[in-house]
Amino acid sequence: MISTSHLPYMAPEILLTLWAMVLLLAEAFLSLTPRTTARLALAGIGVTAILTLLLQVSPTGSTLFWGDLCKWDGAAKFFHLFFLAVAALVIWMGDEVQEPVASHGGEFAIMPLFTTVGLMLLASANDFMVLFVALELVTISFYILVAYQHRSLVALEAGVKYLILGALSSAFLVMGIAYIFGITGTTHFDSITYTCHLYANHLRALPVGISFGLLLVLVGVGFKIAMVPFHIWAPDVYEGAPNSITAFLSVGSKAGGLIILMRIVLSVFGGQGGVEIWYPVLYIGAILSLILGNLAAIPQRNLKRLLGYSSIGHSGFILVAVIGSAATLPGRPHASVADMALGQTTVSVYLVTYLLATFTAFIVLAILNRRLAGLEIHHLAGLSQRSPLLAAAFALSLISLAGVPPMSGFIAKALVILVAWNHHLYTLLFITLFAAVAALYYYLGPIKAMYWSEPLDETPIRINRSTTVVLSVLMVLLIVTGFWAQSISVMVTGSTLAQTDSAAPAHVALAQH
Amino acid sequence: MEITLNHYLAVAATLFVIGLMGVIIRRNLLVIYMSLEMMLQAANLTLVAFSRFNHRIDGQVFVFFVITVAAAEVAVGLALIVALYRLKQTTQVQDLTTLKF
Repeated sequence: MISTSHLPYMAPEILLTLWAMVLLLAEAFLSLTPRTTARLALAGIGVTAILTLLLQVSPTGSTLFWGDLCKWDGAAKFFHLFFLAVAALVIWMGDEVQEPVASHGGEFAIMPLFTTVGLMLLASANDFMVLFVALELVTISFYILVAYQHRSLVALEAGVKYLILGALSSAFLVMGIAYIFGITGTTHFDSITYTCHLYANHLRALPVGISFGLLLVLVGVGFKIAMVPFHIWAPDVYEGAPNSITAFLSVGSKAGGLIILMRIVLSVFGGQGGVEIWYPVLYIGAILSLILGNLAAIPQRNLKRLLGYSSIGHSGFILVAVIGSAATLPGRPHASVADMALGQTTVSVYLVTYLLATFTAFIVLAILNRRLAGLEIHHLAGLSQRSPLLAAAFALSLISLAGVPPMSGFIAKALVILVAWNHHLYTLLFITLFAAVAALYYYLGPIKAMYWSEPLDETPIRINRSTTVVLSVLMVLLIVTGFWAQSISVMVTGSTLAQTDSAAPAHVALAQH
Repeated sequence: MEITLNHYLAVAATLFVIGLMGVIIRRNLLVIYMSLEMMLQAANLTLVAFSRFNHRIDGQVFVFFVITVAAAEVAVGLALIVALYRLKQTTQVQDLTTLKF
């Protein structure tokens, strides 16, 4: 049932895949310099972004395409653009900021294109088969990127650890999908929603097989978003990977895991029956991530590990918003459509502010990586005297991650707390507040070192013009989106999942007769 | 005795748990990697069994995707392990101590 009328919706993925393959061949046969390759990869991303912007979200909510395997809705469009922005920053960083890594070859700029295709496909997946293949495309290209510096023991160790835990999570995911397929007889999201709706109506609960499958799928997805207790890979891999890839992992991979988590728990298993299964898992996961992520970051001295643990904490904050977007929670009144939309928009807002702050921080770290003796907190001593711009950028990004009022991170955290309040999730609300206060403490350590310690070495750090421009733009965005919250709503308006109705999808209805 | 769906599921579950134990207990990277493949095959067996007993072809199609993806994963994974062996002359997990947990 593949018709060409829906080809435009597939165009971003098709175009970027073809472009990445052409670039791989061109890089091998025409001996392009890494810089040219990176520029060409960025051009491909630019064209794909324009194409994505031209694709309209249908007014009725969603468009199914590619034999109903994919779905185009507000969330898909938002996440497509989000991943393209992330990829552009990653490729730019690899080329401009960290020459020693990129000089190994042009693949460092080409592999992120494949990762991005996988992430975009994840955003519109409407079938467990597409979800699995897209997720593996993301994961396998990340193995290569994490261990890209294959002469460095640290990078290889990070790569091998990521490989083993990534493959483990895939195995859990496939097993979970197998059980869901086994009981419902389909891998298609809408058909599973419908079958679950029938089970919930007749039996008041889902069959054990589906619940078991859903639990295994949640384990698999939990790994991707670094939810405690499936977070153990995060700090090690974050420390070992090149800086641009660490930023890619912490923003791109997390957002990819979140969009499929939202599709699975909010739309596929969002009705009665499914909620009883995932609600306790995500509830406990959110609490543990908030507490462990933020407390374990306090004793960290290495900045990349510190950001790694803080990223686990941020997963906790976002999970609170995901729980708060549920249509119905056990023992609580039905949420209004506005509340659900608020929860999903909060996830988008949080991810945008997280993207801005994380990339600002990692661009600074990538620059410092070559200029300082190491990336421990004490190496930052007196940075404000050596390079006021870098110190200001790093300080602003940390303040935003901490959620201090004028910055954009504050808006995101305030929305999370509002969502928890609307849903009467008072325990989560309290723990969120506690975690936000604990986070202040460790984010202030590096700032103190930069502004109130004497530098060991007084030579100023020079940075080139394009880095200055990008850092300034990111800093302005961090402040503007904080002071003027309207600006962020422009980006996230309509970024919600299409409403699923529990009416039978066409082919299920046919099969029933 | 008739072989039912449950027998297949039991075999697959046993394979899955053996694989999981292997990942947790064994100390050699290659053996851990083999155990991971075993877990994926357990999932494949589950899919095929469900597909056969539900009379739906989707599960068998899915298995082909899983096999292909697993092959790609092995290619990258073994390359990583070989690169690590060249650098460190070991594939034992306890020697990977540069990054501390």
